[in-house]
Amino acid sequence: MAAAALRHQKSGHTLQPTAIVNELWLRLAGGGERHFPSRGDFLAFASHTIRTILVDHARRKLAEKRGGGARRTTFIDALEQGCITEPDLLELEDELQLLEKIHPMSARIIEMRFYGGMTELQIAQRMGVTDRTVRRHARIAQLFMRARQRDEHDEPGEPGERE
Amino acid sequence: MAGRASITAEDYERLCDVFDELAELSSPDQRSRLAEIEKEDAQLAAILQRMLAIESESGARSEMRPIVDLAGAFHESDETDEAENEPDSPLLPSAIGPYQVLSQLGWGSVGDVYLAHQAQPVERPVAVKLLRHSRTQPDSKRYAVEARALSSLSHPGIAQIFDAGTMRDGRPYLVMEYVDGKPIDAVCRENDLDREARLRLFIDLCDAVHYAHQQGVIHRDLKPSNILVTHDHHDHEHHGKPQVKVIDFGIARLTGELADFHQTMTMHGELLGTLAYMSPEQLLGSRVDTRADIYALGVILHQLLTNRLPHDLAGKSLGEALRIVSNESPTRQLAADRSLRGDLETIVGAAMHRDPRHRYDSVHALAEDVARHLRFEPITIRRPGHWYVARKFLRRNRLLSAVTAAILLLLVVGVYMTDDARRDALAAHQEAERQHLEARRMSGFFLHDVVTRLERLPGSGEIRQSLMAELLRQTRGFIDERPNDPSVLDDHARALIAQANLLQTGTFPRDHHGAWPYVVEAVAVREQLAERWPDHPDYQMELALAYTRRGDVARDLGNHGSVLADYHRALQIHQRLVELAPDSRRYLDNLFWDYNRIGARLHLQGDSSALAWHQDALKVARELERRFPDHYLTTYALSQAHIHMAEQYETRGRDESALEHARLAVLHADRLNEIYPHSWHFMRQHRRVALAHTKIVQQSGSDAEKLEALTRFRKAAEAMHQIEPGNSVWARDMERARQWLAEPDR
Repeated sequence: MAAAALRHQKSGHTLQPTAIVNELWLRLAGGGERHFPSRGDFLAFASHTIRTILVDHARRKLAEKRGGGARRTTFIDALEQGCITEPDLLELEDELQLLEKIHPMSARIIEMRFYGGMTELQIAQRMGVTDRTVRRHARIAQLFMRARQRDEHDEPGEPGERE
Repeated sequence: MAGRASITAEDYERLCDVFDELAELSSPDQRSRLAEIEKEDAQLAAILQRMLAIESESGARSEMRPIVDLAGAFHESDETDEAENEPDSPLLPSAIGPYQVLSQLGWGSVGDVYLAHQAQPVERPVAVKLLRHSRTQPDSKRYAVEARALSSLSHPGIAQIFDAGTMRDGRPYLVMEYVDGKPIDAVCRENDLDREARLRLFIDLCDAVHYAHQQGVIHRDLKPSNILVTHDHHDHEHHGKPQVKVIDFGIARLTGELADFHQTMTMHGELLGTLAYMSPEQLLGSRVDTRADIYALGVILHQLLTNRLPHDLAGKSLGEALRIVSNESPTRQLAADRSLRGDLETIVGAAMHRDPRHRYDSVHALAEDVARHLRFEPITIRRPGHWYVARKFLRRNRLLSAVTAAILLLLVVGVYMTDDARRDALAAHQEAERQHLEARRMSGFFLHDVVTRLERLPGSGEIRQSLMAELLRQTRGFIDERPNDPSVLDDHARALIAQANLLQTGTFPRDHHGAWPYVVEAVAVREQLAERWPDHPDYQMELALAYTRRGDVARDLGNHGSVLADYHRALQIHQRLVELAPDSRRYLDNLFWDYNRIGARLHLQGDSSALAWHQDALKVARELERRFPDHYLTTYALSQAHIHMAEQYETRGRDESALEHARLAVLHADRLNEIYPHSWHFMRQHRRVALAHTKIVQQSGSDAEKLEALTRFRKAAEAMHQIEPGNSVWARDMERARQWLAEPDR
């Protein structure tokens, strides 16, 4: 569940970023003229790219498990050693997409914090708001997503049916 | 799971407010407060309860741990310059379908491009674009159909698509002609081509794009890196004619590249290099046609002429880019250069016109004008002089009414000169006319009087709705009777908007879903009116207002993709109207609200240009104050302008400025409340301003001011509660105010 993705501190493990950074460069290098006036701008953009990399990977991974297609080995195999599973990421993605609809600012905060590792202060500077505002929205959004997940798992449902 | 899908932006805002309030309470207080909330909104209470439980389980303020410590990673690797290292080759596939991969040519956001070798049926090098799986991956059937359509494009100026297929793992690929060339801008710069040579290349480019348009294909992503120039190697010694080759024609749509891009954009406000070539309608994510390509060609022409882009959008957020494109002339740099002023300036200006309707009709027409310029012949497009058009616009209007009056007079005189039979026919006609007008007068009576008068009556929502439904039935009937009478269409559009307003503000709970079809139909009717009667300025304005309303409803539904686009459409219309008639209060007032809405929207999207938009709005509000100081809507605009400025400064931690603006907002909101104590809108505004002031004053105000603010807030909430007793927001406001007043130091 997405809550696990957000918490994932059970083992206190954070993924090795080098491999992800490489893939990120691969994607960024193709775009040609891109200007990032500051590190914050770059990190914010990178957060989103990483999100798509991880989510795409998780989707493909799950599809392969079902279809048994050829394996493509990439860095994200590291994910398996971490304690986040692909379904976690995909559920988090669903929640983030909902949040993007109802409160885009919060979705961006979560994305920059979770996928980009930016600090509250960095996010605040990037968005031109105070870190108090960032902290408030991060806290509420996180609890909101987790509460919704719990809601879902409390009730009978078909977890495999979604998406 | 009943509540899952139905949470709206409004619900979430409320959830945030209530959560803040609860977080400050001790747990027994929380429980009793939750019990109260549950009575009003069980779903809200349930989710809040779970949120509080999770927080207390996982310890005080459990921190979210980043999945990737990217910020840290970049800190460490700053010196090693990873960008320069060739990416490792394990990612290079050995073959894609029957094509043997030789090397990688490029990396893109949705896929990579490889140089590959084709063995059958002809041996040749090809470029293969291999797509990643992405969430915008088109379904394979549509993909195959579109790829086939693209492969039918055959023109020396367009890189040919040879083949399309799918890898075993499901990733689609496209096989294209391999073009060994350089981007057009680099070729011009490096070879120091003279202006005539550049313009000839541009004309060749236009020929290729025009050909594709005739085949029904739009490029959508024209930019120098997609326009390569090759030299004919056989004729190298004689400086063979350079050949323009447009690559990736129609690919952007096929791969979903732009959809993906736009999503990234709207979520991030990041501008990438290609943004400079995007027309305003593309920036806003609207549907595009060939005129988007014409815009991009205008940008490219500018670049070929000056080696520079018309607008500097590098590193700008979406909101900032929109401000620049809406406010600045694209031909400033050309106007400043004596050799470019005149024809070329006019051509670029017409190609890059903000409004697609005022651009060249076709790429061919654009190329023809460039060719005429080279032949020293007069160009066909007229300088888009606003004043010329404007004066003509108004004059024609005046003339029109004079002509109508004359014809009417003739008709009336004519009646008395005809024989009995004709007189009878005319009388019958007049009787029908009289009945029609009477019926419409009645419906107008319902619309303007009964419904608005009932607005003040608490709980009248239902009655008003059934009256409105009846009215709509009638106005629709009038259209069937007189499909060519603009005033009938106008009445109908008015009724549709009134119905949407009623669903959104006159009832509780609000029904945003119910309002949507009405605003959609209203826009359709208004577009028709504005198109068929283009000389009627009020129809233009009403169209803008309909866009605004559609944007509002989309916003309230949490449908945020189209909101900015609609607000921006309204802004463009009002900007033009204010230019035409600077003395009109309504145009200026509407312009204020456009800036205000765009600012508020961008703020919610976390775009820091919101402040600049609100400053623009304040400027317009001050202009209103200067010209129309006594009008109550000026007062409304001023209170709105100042409260938004206050909130902008507050989120930036500039408490002094925030308080200053909040006080001004209160001043105007109080005045408004005195003039119209019973208007729902002004009451709501009064409550909103009072709440914001109360919050801001907590940071930096005196005790006396805090008390004054709280008292005002309580009164405003009580007033709202009285007319909407079912809405728990007002009840909670009153409770909050009561608690704060009881313990002023909180």
